[in-house]
Amino acid sequence: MGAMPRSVMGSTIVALATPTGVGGIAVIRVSGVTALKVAMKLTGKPIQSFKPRLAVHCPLLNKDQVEIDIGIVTYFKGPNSYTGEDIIEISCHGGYVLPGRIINSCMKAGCVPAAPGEFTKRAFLNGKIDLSQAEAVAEIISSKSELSQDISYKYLSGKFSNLINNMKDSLLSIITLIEAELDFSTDEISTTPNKTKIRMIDKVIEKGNALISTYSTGRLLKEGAIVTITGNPNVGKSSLLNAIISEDRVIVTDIPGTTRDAIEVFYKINGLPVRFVDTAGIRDSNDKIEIRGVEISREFIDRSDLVLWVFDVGFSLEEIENQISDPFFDAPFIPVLNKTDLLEPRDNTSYCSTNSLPHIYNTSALKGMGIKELIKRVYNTLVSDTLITEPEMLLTNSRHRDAIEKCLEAITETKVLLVENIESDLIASRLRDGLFELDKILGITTADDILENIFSKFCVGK
Amino acid sequence: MFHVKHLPKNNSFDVIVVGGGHAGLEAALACSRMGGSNVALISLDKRAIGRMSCNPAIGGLAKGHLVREIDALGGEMGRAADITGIQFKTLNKSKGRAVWSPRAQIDKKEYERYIQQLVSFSNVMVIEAEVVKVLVKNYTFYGVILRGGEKLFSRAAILTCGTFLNGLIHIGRRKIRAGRMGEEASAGLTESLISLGFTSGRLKTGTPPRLNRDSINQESLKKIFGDIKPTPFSFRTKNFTPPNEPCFLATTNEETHEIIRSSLHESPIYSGEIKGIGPRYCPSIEDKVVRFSDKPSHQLFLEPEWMGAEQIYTNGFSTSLPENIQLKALRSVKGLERVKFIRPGYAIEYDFFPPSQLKASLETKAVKGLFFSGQINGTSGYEEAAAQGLMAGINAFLFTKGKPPIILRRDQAYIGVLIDDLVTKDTSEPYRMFTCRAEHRLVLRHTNADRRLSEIGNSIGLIDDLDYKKTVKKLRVIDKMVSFFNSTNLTPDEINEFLIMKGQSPINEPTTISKILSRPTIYIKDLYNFLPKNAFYSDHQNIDDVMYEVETTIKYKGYIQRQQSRLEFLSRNESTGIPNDFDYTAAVGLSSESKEKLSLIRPETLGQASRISGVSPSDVALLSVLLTAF
Repeated sequence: MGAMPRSVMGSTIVALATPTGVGGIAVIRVSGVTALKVAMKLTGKPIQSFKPRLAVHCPLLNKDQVEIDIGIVTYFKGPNSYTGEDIIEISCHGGYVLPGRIINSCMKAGCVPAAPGEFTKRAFLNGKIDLSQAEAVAEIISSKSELSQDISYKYLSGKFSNLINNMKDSLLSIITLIEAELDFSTDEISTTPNKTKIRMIDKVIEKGNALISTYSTGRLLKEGAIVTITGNPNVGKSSLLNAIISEDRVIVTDIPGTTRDAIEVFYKINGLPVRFVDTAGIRDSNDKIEIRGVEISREFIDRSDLVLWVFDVGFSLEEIENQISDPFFDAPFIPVLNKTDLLEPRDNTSYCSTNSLPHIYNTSALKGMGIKELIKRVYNTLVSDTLITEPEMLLTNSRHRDAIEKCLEAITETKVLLVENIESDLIASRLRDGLFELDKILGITTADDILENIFSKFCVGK
Repeated sequence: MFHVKHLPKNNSFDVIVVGGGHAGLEAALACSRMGGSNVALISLDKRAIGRMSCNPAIGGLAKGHLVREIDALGGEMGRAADITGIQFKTLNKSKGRAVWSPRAQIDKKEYERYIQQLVSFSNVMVIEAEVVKVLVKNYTFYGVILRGGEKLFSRAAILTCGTFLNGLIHIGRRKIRAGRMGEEASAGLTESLISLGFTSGRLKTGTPPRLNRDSINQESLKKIFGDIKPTPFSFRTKNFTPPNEPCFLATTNEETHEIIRSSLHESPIYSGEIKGIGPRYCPSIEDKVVRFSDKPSHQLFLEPEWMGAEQIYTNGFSTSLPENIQLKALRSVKGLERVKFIRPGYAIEYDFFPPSQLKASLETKAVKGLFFSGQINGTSGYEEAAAQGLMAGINAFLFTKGKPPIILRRDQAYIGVLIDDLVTKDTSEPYRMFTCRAEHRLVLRHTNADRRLSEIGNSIGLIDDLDYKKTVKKLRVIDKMVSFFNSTNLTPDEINEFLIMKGQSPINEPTTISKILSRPTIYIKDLYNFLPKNAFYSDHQNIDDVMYEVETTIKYKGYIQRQQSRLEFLSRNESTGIPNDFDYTAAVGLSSESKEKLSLIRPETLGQASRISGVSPSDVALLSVLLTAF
């Protein structure tokens, strides 16, 4: 039966750790019980040459024991390695051919190719990291922006767990009070007034709501925001986008309706990933291709986190105000007046909308005027102000948000029950429903944890 | 010491029960009632059979549930308590139906008399002797050796040795070898079990002083009575009119605490002389004074040990201080200024066998046919002992007939929770039942123990057909009424005036009675006037019980559903089996504590593994990965 875990972990695995393709250096990783033997066969050097965490400069042999490169071989002795097993890391020259030959050579020495994610899986199975950390590793690798990588690291380092644990502890203290009253008679322990319990519950709800309120920003940071640029044909939407990304990626012409499909540009504002979408101009048209383009732009507008609604100076303030007071979509938007370079200087102030309507941003895509302000406004609208200064812990996972919401729903209900002085076994059950939701995120609370709490807080027993 | 006139042929019995306490009795009576024609009950003192060693009460929070379940399965404790109780009270009335729990003060003398009479009318043969060795061949039990060398044989035995295995009493610095005060301890049996490969441990418990009633100034103490309308433990008890004998409430004060504090060095617990671990939920008065030094006083309940007893139990004053200190401390309490002892309080240390060595049937993993129950498994309390005794008795008898054991599930009974906890968890202190241990608490109400367990009781012959038929009839009436309430509407015209008066929002369309009844402050009695006449048609005698169950079923439905969905999520792992020879030491990711515990306990499923203390959720996740990978 000792073979059981070995059927999972017994083999020594090999894989290329760097991306395939042309590159100066490639790193090949070998993990498993026979890693050192692989190093010996690969280099022709005796086993004593390899000491833990020592980089050894040595020849690398192909599967027929012919020297094909010179590289660096580093030995990491388990359990003090990424996977917890013996690991050797081989740095060789990169490219399409050489790393493959070295991997073949490792396989000749007894390795099997690693399955995707197998190094991290072994790290988990060997107790080097827990499941949520393994998840975070994947997220860090796939992070598209500095901010989202920062957040993933906060998950990996346990900051998020601390916040949830904090909520769990508060909830557990309330449950402890109630469970103690259920399991010990009033002869044995003193009881806590319901008002106090309600106050404690309110505090947990407050913490939960604070976390939930970060979700929209957190999601934006993780998945990126969609900002769609719309408006009548030829108001300069594409030029505006170009001005924003300062790069001539989109064709700009004077013929209305040039941009027929949506064009997406991936861009970052202060680390916040934003997908700017330049859409076909919205107008009635008989051109089939253009109609399709308009449909696509509608779809994008509906999925947008923010819309830049572009007008040009051909519109009067009244016309613009008319339109923006009754938008044809639901997403939040910023009205932008483009081509202000064509205005007489004295007209500049005339495009200030009245109080009740959104502030109209004046830009000139051609001259690059007002673009900075607009970008700043886009960022501030997407990211709620409190979070700009320093990215605190943000909720990025909808599963986590749902769990916290369900938790709050359950415990909010118990407040009503406490006011009505309803059976406290039911209150305890609902509070445990709430705790369970938080448990789903972290780890399970047992009856023993609750009893432990009771004994540490109450003088029980007649 | 061996006084039996008519031993059976070849000294051979169906089942041998060692010990005549609450576990031993339930075990022996169950075997006899299930058809055992000769069951041996071996006791050191036959006059002590059925003795209540500590407090004169049965039931209480969670324990009352156990008694109701024992009764629903056909055990004896509930009926015995109904017959010999002198004050009945349902506890937790203000806290929710799932935790309501019956408790009774018992006439200890009557209880012993009743039990001993019952045994004498059964097929149980009482043998006054001491067992010093169990006989095992091929990992299978076949008999016991008594002190004096006599051998008794059977295919199954249940050890219920209580606090008697190497029992050691402490009063201050004084030590006495005894199983209970004035009763000899049992020596040799532990060693015999260890030589078979069992592991033993040491636990501690205590009992408070017994006071002389005439020395108490009763006038100055508050009297406490039971319920005016008492509820019996047994579903089978009829015409219930027990006495209502009062207890007295006294309170300690700063002077009492000072006396105790200044003598702590004389307490064997604090001087380190007692090595066994005591229960935190039943702390000694020294513990209370030390750990909760900010509390200016503690309550003491003075409970008569029988009807009109001169002997009073000092509930709340468990202690192992020297006798003179105990007396001095108690005499500082108002009402006890001139108190005299009948017996001082004491602590007792005893051997137990960590119950992870048992299967869920309570049969030992190492020896076939050998069962353990009661304090030997590290539990405390009469009720916990009786519950195990009953299950061990049932399963030992089934074993002798070659039939599979009965194992109650955690969602089926507190008894199921108790035994599952015992066999999967490490006992670091004497185990007591608490309602919070039962994750299915909302469905495990004491009032529906009959619904949960009577069928099993009847199927093994412990609940007779006549009683069972009555139960089935009652359950049918309840079900009918619930479905009637679920399907019958009240109109806005009929009920709105009442709802508004109750401060509730009115209904807009015809609504089922159940929906209205599930509102928090609406009760079935409020609705009597609005119900169609045929709603209450029933010839059932216990109409109040029936209506109560109907109301609870409807009111708790939503909460129970949510509880279930939460538990189902958790039990995804529950039924994943773990091979018996699984090599935990080779699973590198497990913590060494987990490896050790899992290798020792050898859980049968991942569900069991997850409940072992010290085994973390990530350990379970790892195991689950390893098991599926395998």
